[in-house]
Amino acid sequence: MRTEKRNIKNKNLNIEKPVNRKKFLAFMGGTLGVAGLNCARKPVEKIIPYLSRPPAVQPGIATYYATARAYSEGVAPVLVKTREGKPIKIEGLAEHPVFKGAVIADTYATIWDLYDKDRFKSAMKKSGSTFSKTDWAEVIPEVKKALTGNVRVISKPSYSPSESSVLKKFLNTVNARHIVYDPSGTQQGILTGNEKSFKKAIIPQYAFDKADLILSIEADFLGSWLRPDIFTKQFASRRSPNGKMNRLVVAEAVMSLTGANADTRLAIAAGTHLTFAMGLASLLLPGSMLAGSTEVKNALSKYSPKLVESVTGVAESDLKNIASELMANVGKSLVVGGGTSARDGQEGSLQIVINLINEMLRNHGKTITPVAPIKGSNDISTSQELFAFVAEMKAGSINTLIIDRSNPVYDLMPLGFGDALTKVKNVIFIGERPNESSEAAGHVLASSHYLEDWSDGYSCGIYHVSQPVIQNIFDTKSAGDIWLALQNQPEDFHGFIQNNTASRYASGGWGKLLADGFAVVEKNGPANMPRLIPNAISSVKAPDSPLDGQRLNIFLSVGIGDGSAGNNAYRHEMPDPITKVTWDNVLLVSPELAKEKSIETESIVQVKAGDAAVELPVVVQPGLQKNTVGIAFGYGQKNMTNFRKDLVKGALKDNELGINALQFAKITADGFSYSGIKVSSITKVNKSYKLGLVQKHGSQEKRYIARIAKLSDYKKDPKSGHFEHDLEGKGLYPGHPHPGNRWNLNIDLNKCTGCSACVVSCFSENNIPAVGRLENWRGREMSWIRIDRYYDYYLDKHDHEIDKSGKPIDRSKDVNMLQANVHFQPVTCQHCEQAPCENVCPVAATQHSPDGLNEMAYNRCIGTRYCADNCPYKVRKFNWFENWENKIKDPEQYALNPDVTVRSRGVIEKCSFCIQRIAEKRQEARLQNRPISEDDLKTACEQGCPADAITFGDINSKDTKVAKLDKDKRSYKIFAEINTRPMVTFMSKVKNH
Amino acid sequence: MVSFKEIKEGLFTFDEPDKGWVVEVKTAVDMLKAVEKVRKAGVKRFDTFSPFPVHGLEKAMGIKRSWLTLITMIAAFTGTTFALSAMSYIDLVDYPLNIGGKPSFAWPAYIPIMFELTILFASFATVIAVWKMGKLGIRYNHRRPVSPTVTCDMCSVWIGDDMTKEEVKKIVGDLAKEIHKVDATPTDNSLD
Amino acid sequence: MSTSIYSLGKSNVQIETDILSPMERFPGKLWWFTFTIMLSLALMMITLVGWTFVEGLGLLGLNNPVNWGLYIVNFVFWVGIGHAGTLISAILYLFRQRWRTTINRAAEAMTIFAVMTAGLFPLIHVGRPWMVFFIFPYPNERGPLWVNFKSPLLWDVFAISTYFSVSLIFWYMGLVPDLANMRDRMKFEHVPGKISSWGRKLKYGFVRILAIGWVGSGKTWIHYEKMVMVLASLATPLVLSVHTVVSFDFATSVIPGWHATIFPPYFVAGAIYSGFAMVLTIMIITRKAFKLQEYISMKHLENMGIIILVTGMMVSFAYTTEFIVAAYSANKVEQYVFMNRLQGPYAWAFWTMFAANVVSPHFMWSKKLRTNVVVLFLISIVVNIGMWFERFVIVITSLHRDYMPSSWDMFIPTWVDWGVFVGSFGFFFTWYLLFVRTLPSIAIAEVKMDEANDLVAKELGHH
Repeated sequence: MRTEKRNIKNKNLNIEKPVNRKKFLAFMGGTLGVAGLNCARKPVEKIIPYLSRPPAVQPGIATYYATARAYSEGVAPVLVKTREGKPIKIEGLAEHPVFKGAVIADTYATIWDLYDKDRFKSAMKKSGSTFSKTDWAEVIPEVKKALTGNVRVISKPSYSPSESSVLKKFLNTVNARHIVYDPSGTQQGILTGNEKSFKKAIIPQYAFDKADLILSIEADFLGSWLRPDIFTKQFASRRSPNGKMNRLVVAEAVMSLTGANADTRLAIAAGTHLTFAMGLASLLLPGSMLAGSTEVKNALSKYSPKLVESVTGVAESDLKNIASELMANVGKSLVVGGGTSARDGQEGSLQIVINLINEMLRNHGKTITPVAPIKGSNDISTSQELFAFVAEMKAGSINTLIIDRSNPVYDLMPLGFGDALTKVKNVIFIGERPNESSEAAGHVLASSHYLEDWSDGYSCGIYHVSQPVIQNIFDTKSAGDIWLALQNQPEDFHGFIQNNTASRYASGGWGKLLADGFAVVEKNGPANMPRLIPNAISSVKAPDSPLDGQRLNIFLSVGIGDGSAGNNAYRHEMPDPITKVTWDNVLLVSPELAKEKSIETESIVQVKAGDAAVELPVVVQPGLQKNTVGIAFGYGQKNMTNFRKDLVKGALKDNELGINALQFAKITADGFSYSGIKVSSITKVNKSYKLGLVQKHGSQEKRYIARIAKLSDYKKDPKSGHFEHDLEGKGLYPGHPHPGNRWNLNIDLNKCTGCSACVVSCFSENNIPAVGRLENWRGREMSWIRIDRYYDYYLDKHDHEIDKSGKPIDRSKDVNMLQANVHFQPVTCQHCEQAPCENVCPVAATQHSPDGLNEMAYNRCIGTRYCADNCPYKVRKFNWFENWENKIKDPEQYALNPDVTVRSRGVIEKCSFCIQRIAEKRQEARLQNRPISEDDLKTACEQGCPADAITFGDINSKDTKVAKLDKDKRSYKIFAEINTRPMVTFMSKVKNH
Repeated sequence: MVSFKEIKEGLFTFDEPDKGWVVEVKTAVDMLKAVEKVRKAGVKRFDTFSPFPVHGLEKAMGIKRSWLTLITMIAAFTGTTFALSAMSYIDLVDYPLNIGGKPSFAWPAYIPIMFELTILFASFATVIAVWKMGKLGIRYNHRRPVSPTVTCDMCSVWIGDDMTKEEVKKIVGDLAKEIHKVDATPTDNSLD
Repeated sequence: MSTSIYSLGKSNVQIETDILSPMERFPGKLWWFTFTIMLSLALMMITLVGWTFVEGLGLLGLNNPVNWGLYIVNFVFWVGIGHAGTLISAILYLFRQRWRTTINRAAEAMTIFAVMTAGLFPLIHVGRPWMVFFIFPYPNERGPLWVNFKSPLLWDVFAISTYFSVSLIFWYMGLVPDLANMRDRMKFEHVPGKISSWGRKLKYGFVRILAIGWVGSGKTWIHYEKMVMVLASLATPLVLSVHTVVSFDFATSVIPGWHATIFPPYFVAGAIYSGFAMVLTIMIITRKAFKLQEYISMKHLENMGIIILVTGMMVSFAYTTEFIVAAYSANKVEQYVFMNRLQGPYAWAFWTMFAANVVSPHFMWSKKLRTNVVVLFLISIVVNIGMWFERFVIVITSLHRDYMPSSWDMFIPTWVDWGVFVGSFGFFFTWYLLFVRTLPSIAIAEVKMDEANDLVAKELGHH
């Protein structure tokens, strides 16, 4: 990858200014797809199919472009792999100083958003109740006409300075006002809180890699809170048991990805996170620099450990331990909190307490710094502003509302946005694909995908430019261009970015900026936060008595997020990291409650809360308190109904996927309440339902598949964790020699957070089909790498403890479902040296290559499935139906990787160690006649892993990373006793407690 | 040690009852007695016809034994060798593969197929031999028995030598139920 | 020896009339009724299989852990059924068991049809049936790409096809004298019945061709007898080898519950067990329908009952051994699989098998019961059900919870699975019904021989 990038860089560097666009295109090579479009651009700017091949584009050779995805949750710098001018894969931008190549599943999945057949193909216009195609030339003037009277623009937060400034200009020209809302409430909570605590509304830069002790209260920073990609990278970088390994403590109600990775997880009752935080603060107060402040003392005095225990259910001792641990790590700890499930009706209150705690622990300026913040300015409206705005709409005093790439009808459902919208005379929608809001609009201005058009983003003190890597597939415009067009600006957005914004930030020049994809503006580093205002705490009102009855938490799911990109089969096909549910959102209930109501996973219950009564499927989730239930939002949207029928067959409702959790949400005087919502009843409904659950069994039956040791034990004996010594049989035969390279994959279970980015990266690299919910229910998921999730339930101990005589201790006595330990284990084809699958294939369709790969010849396979039966690791997947022909709709096929065969019906497929990448690099190495070096060869999963848990390389040469890791004491093979001799090595997990 | 001659005799074939006398007898026992007499009388060409095999016929007809088994044995060995050599050639020379880390020539895995081919070759060779030696086959489907009920319940002895009815009577004596002349193997063209 | 309890004391003409006359009459209502049902079942199976060819095997209830389902269960089941025939005609022949004479023909026919039915399943259960010729090792232009001789599935191909062809010629050569008998009977005797003249001509033509000019020459008989002996001694190890190889499919794998050294003898015993049960079922029906009670006497049925008792106990012994080995193995996975059979989600299948295979044969201890046709019939049915479930237990319960707990899943058969299962019975019985209507279901020549040789022995005092 690096080599191609260099090429482009050089080319860019020796361009003489001024770059004219046509010349630029020659090496940018974004092309194919439809040509001719749009009046607003100057004709010279059309992207035309080239007559002579630009040097950068060579058929069969991938070209990589650095760009960035600037979206409402932030900026994700990426490297886009294009083949013959079509982007086919998103990869991490390793050179990025903050992200260091970290990309999460959500961003990998955007490649299919680009080729989404359901996108708006052109500007649309509503006549009666149906939309009809229209031309930009006629829609723009019509929209302009509507820009009279009270004009409002509603959008999600923006990270693009250029977009903001063109928008600002636009707002001024038509003296409109801008309303910004944050669907998940994460950013809003932090900004509001910081506004109150610091009089400065920023989302600061967090340094999880500098913290020895991390406490997270309801903040799923590894899954869905702010920037999981950065945080995962930072967090995992400290997960090596040799050296100072960090420790993660999580206090949360519903099991989140972060909770699953916690070294100690405290299950609190839903909606009591504030009490927990206050209790903690009051324990930390004595002896801290704020001990003097009486307001703080008064505010906190009430929350004694005893009260906290009675309210949250966290034992006094646990709370005290955490407090003392934190005190022992002053300046080296990091306390974070918030997120959707902490949205308890008083915006920012949790953040205020968190700020107080971090101040007392002197973390501000060390693990939390204001320079190079994740988000600088507060352009997000407060709840009050939102209420006022909706009231305005209801009053009918708003003439025109422009909805910018958002879905307020769904996201602001608790405010009754949908009804309010009917009172607005002109509704104009800007967006990529239809949703509830677009249906309410009179005009639809089709906006383009970030890979198609120009934009930029500013975050973490770094300016990113996102350049088009392909000509617009449909007749769409970038949001920036639309704003400019609406204010009769002759200039186009590309020019605007290049001349106004980029020139301001990027000192290295435009060419370098395009080559790098980013430019560092301000470096992160120690710096003091603004002065804290302790009194802010006095406004916080935390529950001081146990919440009665069942309480519901609405949380943000890792796969779907707020659901705005829900029309993407692969986002649904990726199993939820914790529940392993696909294509649905479910009600998570605790085992105790399940037993009491005699409900189990897959059964349907009716949940009554307020005036909402909803039937939905259940998943029994350990780690929840009995009075806590949870449900992910983002589901149940209109834009999730356009899938192939066979993918969503048997869904709960036929016109939407999953359940809209926001029906349960409440509105309070000062905010949205998604947390601790009172549930009046949960009753079992006698309906059978087929849930797309890809893992049905949670325990590893003491088979030591995912191995784990306590740090203390590990320090004593690095081999602890392997509780059985692995019998490696001799075997009857000498075996085959493996001269030259021998590929080996190493997976560090201690780094793996189970985020499933590798799964989606593999989907995209290896053309793996999405098979849909019913097939997943059958157990026919096709993913080549799956992440197994195991639970064990032994009070802060693990499944594998042994007594003196080396026998495992049976702890079935002290099972405690609250204390569920979660183990994640990515499993790919093990490429066994003595593969059972190879022996049994009657037609020799699978056999072993000299470089140690278990190869699969699809053309030879007749589909006896004997190999899949005989595979101990169950990694071989069979094509039960035709997954591509007549199923894939134009332009979806462009997302396919041309280097990987698309498998037909009736053949077995499985992980190939990305043999196409090996072949490519081998070729390259041969041409430059040198051996393949490990750092130019990465499998899709390795590259996809933001935690650097996966390492791939040649185990024959002693000095490679894998070879070294293979020697590590933690390394082991699963089921070594079968004597299959896998080429995948796992490194046991070490729990820091 | 068996002599080549004995083996050659042991692979005797059925010769068509072209011309001569058919002595019909009442029972299988009579047939055995009669054929013994015929042989003792030094008749060269004779055979018996019965709807079922009769114990002690070899003895009565003076045949030492059928050497059919020799053919079976040869075929069996052919089968084994063929299987082994074919599989070794394919796996060692023609298309060697690394399958499950086993060596290309994994002889224990060949045993089942070697066994099956042994049986296959042996049994087919045996049957084909019987067809040849018994002059059986679709092309003989016009052949008819020397008398209508031979395949039902009639036992009979055929004498192919050139002799008169009296001489035949003399040999078989009162065992004969009926003696009639045949000129050639009766055939049946009723359908064509 | 003097005339045995099996001698009928019937004239040859009487014997062949008894055996041949039923099929010279026009089939009765009962035959047509059953034939229609069976044929339509067979057609249903063919339709369903065609559908899976077009749509894909996803129509079956299979999934990732359970990649083999009812198709393979049926395969093993039918191969098992296909054992009794050759066993009776070969092994009982070598042991000079005279009572085989009257049942071997039908039993062998049953074998042929059972193996035909069994042979279907491996072919229709592959993902790309149109590529199935890949499993035949012949010089080709694909490399030449050869098959994998290390794969038990390939051994199967050889074992089953050899078994089928050898059984077929053995059966056919046994038929030849009877065909000659039919030929001459049709030629020279007035055959009663409503068969039209052209129909008779046609039938006669076929019979004449199939009789390959057999005239019952003594010299040929001598070779023929030798051949029967040779084939019998070749078929005996073959019979044992076939289910041994089928058991290799499982025994040579690494899957707990499959990977067991006891499988070959265990499968062979099971095959004989189910085979005899099926023979019993069929014989009881045939003798009733064609009034052959004298030929297939209560003594015959009783003998088969005893064999069922013996093999039944062998099978029970194998079950026990499996569990003891698992318990002794100190292999967690192995132990789990067997506990899972006892109390897992498929325990019902195991206990059905247990009741049918382990308990039911013990009724055969009582003379009274094993000489009661109704009881014998019921037991034979029960045993067949049990043996089907045995294969279900082996294939499905072992697969659905093997090494990787994360991949554990359930196998829920779809109606296509069941349809093909039922259809396979239709396929089998269609052939059998055609057989009993067209070919002598009792070896006439052999019966005659036994009758005659009694006299020979009596008069000449040697044998």
